[in-house]
Amino acid sequence: MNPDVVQTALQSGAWFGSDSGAAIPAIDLHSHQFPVWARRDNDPQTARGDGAPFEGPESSTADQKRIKSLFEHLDSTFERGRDMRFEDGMESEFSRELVRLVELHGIVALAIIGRLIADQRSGGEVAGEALRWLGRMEQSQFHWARMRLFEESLCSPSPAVRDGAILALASLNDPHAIPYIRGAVQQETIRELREDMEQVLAQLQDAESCLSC
Amino acid sequence: MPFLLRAIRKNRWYEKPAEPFLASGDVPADPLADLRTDGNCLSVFCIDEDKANLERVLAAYASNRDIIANLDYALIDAQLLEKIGITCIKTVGQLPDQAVNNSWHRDLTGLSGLNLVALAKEILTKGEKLRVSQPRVVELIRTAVDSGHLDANRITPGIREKIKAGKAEAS
Repeated sequence: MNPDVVQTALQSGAWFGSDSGAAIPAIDLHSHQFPVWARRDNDPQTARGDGAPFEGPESSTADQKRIKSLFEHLDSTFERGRDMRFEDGMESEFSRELVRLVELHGIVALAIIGRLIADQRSGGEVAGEALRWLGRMEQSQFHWARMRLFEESLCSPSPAVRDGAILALASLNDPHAIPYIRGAVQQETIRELREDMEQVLAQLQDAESCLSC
Repeated sequence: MPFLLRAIRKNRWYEKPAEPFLASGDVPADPLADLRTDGNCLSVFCIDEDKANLERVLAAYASNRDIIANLDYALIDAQLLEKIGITCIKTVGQLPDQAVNNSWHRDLTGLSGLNLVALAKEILTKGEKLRVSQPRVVELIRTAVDSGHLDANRITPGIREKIKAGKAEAS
């Protein structure tokens, strides 16, 4: 699915439908969230993207329906996750479905997941679990989109989300996250979480040193 | 004094400023998710006072999961159990390391709801909550395989492949 089309659909909000639209805050497409993710993955020549918002074409009704359907599917997957007990290193019905949907729908699924996490509709535990599993996906899959999502999730009001984000960034092992983690360490008020962030910071600094060797 | 180890998810145990819903001396409910019992028993591992067996237990535990991931755990002084009236008995574990199974696995038995809350309180206030990073988990498992501690045939297949692939890359 063309991310430009998705962007337009997200912008219009039409695909959310009248029931749920009011409950979901609008995505600011000029915040560099979704468009920049898409650009980074779709254009390997511009590895970081330039932050310019997309000027996508109008979305088709069929695309809007597909996006709405995917949103509802992911939303219900997150909702079911609330009744599950997650353990590190153990798969669950939630993790399998999440990974399957991202592999199938790519950037569109990631954009929706980012929004579900930001909205905190299903609580920090489920969101943190989602971030962990997104971090473990094969390195080449939507690397920059995931990176952006994890970096932004470091600022979440939920400690469980911040923990999931730091673990996901540890899995990606990309030194690009270093300044974001530094900032998160400075802001972090929970001592144990701050220490875990520092541990990941050290890991990424080692990775950076290795790259420059 | 030896310690008892229980695998946890660290974020459930964060020390946060007093929550308004908690009465004095009460504990939050989230940590109890890491104290899931089976037949009113809770599986733990005994760690030597000098922690000489700690890494071996961690390697065995981590190798028995679906995938390689960080491993969070809590350690408490084993003596604290007596104080809160919890019985600890030696039982055989089910991990891919026989020494860990036969020597260091324990069950906390006959647990009541109040016991669990008391245990959670001890872990929250006196326990160490630690995290082994994912790269370190790989190292621990690899070392345990190389030293013959882990039965490679009993390691989760996905993890076995990762360890093998890592070795192939290194050689």
